[in-house]
Amino acid sequence: MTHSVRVWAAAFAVAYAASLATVFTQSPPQHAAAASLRVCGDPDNLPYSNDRLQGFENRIASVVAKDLGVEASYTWWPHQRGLVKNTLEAGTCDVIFGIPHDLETILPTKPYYTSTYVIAQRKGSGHAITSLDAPELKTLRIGVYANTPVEESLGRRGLVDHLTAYSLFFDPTGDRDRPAKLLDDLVAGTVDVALPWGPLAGYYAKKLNAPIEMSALPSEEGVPLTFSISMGVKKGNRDLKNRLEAAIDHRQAEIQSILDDFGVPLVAAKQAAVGAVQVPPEAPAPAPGAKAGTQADASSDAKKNPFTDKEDGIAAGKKLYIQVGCQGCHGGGGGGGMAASLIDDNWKFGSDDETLFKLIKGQIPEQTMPTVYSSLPDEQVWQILAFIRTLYIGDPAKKNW
Amino acid sequence: MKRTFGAIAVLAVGLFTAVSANQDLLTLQKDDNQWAIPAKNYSATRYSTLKQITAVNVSKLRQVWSFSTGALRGHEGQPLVVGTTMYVHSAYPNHIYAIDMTKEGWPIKWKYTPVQNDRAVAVACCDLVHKGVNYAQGKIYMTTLDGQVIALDANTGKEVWKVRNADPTRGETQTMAGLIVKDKYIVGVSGGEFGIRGWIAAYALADGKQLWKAYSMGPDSDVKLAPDFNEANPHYGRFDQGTKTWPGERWKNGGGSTWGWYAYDPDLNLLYYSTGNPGTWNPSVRQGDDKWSMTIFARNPDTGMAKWGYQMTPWDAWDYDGINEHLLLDLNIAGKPTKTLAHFDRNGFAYLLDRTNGTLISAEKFAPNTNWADHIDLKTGRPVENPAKRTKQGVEIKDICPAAMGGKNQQPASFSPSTQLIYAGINNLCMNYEGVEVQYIAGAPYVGANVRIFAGPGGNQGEFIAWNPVTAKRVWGIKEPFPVWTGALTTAGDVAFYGTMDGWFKAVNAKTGMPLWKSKLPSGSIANPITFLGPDRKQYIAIYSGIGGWFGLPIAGNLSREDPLAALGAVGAAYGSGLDKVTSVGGTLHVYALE
Repeated sequence: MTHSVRVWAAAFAVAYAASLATVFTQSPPQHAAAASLRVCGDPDNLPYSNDRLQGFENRIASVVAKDLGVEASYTWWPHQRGLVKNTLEAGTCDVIFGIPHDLETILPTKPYYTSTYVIAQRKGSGHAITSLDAPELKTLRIGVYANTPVEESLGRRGLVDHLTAYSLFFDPTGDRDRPAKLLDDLVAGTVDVALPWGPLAGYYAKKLNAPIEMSALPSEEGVPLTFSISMGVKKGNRDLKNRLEAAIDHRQAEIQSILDDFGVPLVAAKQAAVGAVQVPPEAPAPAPGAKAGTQADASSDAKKNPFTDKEDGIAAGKKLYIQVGCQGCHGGGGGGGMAASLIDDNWKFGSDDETLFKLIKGQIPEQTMPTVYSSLPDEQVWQILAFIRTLYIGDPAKKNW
Repeated sequence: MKRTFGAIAVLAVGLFTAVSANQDLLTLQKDDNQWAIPAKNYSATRYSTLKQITAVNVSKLRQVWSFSTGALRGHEGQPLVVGTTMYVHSAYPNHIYAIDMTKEGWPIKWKYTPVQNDRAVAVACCDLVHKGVNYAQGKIYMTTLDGQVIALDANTGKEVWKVRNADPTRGETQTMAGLIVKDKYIVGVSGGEFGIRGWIAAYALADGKQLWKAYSMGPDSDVKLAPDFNEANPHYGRFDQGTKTWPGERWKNGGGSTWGWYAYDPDLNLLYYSTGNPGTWNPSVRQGDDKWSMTIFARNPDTGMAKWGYQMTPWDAWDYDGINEHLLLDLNIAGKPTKTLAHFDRNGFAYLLDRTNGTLISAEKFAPNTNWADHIDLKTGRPVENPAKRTKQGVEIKDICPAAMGGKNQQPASFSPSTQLIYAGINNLCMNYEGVEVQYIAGAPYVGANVRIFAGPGGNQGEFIAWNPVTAKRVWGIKEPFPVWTGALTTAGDVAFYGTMDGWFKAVNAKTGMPLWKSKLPSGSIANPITFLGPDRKQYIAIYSGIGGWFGLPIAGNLSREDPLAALGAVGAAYGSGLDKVTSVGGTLHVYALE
């Protein structure tokens, strides 16, 4: 298998992971009313989707449809090979939820969440593995899904002999419980460590109360383990793409809360569109159930604003400060109003560059500032901060930027 | 025989009223021993026939009870008194207390604090205020800052139901009291600074089910226009105006919030309220009338359908947020009994309309320095603007009066049937205003203007005035150093009450404006005085202190003084006037009686 095909397969596997299919019967294509959001849904693929609308993608689809002022209607087709051809291209439905952002056969919206492969262990197993480099792995049984990128990571470490591979896809001739079996086996102790796609493990841990704890697996050189997930529409259907993206923006909080409800471990999107500015890569946020401190050390290098005291950056930041609305709450001159003053030395979460960067990006859990700027390019966030620094009239000795 | 017929007739009328209106509330609001709805009555006159306290003895008024609400942001609105219980509310986090007035010291019967999403705090434009609760049929109905509508058992404070009306993650909040009409609780939304599309909605008293929702702009089906909408005044605009008077799809973020006071005429079965400023404050990107922002609406409360709508400030360029209250007055106009609606708008004009169909009767400047328009053309209904004062993007237009805070802000006026005058606290504030470009991002501020606010000619920032609605002329005025942001109360004792931001609660002779009495409050007041009879049959007067609101936000939010543009211009205005030298934060209910 060539590298590019392998990556594609991995990405594909991510999106269509874990069809917990028992018996699949194809429903006839439903002719949705014109005023509905026509979703190409998987009839039996929890935690993502099923025909009883119990999956988190079903719930997200409802929220998005609501934002568009319509109801979601479904054409059922398993999310396996042939999906795009038989649904979007055949015109039986208009949007697929939960596809990898870089899948080439569709037009993706911007991602609405980013998750990661995880290391999952049985609670109380005493292994406490947090990295694939842990020497104990050489003595343990590791369960993975076949053809997922973690196989590559293990192969590089000479751990192939310790693998048990499970099938991700519905196999009408084989063991129909197989996709669920990896996590069942983990709980039963048949394998010691599992490396599944995070939303699946999160679902087991949170929704099914399985005694599983997990921590995020960071991507490695050449082996992406975090994936941004989008909705996909037929190529050329820009109108729907734009409307879906607006809905993603509007409903960010509701989508987040659905993902939280299902225990989906979320990580920051990859720093793909940074522009000219290089910033250190984001460390993944700890996955739900991860041990405290597991990921905290990953980003010990505090971020610094490359635009501080740089005239061009400040000028650009001043313009942005008004354009994106900062001025509305923080005042034309930074003196506050609805929101805190930016000119004195009273900072709720700290005054350093990294804290304020995270605050604007909506990454501080306790923040009350609206978390609506997560997609603002990093460069622009730094420029705004560079401008804000010029407004400071507090004690110069307290400057830590 | 005659007597029998009479009894039947009375019975029939009674039955008819019971099905056509909430009998409980109609009875309660006529009983001046109580103060059972926010504006005293559906006509919103804030007038009581109680007259133990008169212009002669008011100087003997003393504070007899006080109560800390436990919150320190601006305290707008008023408590309710139903039977022998007083219902007290606070600024965010919106504590509600039931106070038992039958026992010594008036102890707390129950306390309720809603569980709220604190992210709402960051998207409330003008301090974390609340305008009070409503009562009906043994329940208390309230809104929360974070968008919930809640019904409580009035005896126990236990939640009966709660539903969501507004979503703070989209910049939607609630500070209004709303109004109960028949079997519905009618509420609106704040968030004109966040590019929301405003609405009002009716919720079933019984279970909180949403019964209708009418937007301020958008397709007619969303705005809910009746087939005969504006039939009497087609020049106000009739159909398709909610989209066609906006460039492109700007109406989708058109603002028109509905956070003010509502009134109701049971005979006409019409609900009155008005819509706020269009979003953004930068007029250059939304050329057109921007209907139905800045509009007084009359709607059928059963269906939500609008009978008429009159837009006061087309293509707003000043944030003349039109949400102020409406007083429903039956006046003698040119020798003819007329059902009128009086409205003192932010834009400096006092409007008098025929409330049956919206026809303009008069529109005169109550804020004397108003200069953005010369007058209102009564034929067309449109303002005749002063082009030099129309704002636009990228230019700071100077010395516009009134300022964005209005010739008068939300503090509701009072009408005394005894003097036939309207009493109102008003502003003397002017501004410089510059539109700036802003992108719409859902949930992010969408203000788009820099505003500097300062005292108008004369130097005093406020005034308490008496106004004759028939002649459309001021009768007298009392100049105040700060804007007067308390509501007014009038009584059959011919006393008018109001409070000030520097913490004075005052009584004046309603006929002459002669000052009669004042009492110092621990914090400035922006609340509405009420009066009622206690279980001891004594007349009481009550008012909250607690500085805040848009003007007082720099004090309530402890903002630094250096940026005059901060708090949408309030920092310059409040510190410019020295408000920080005369008052500090608070949150107390004060009750007064004759000594």
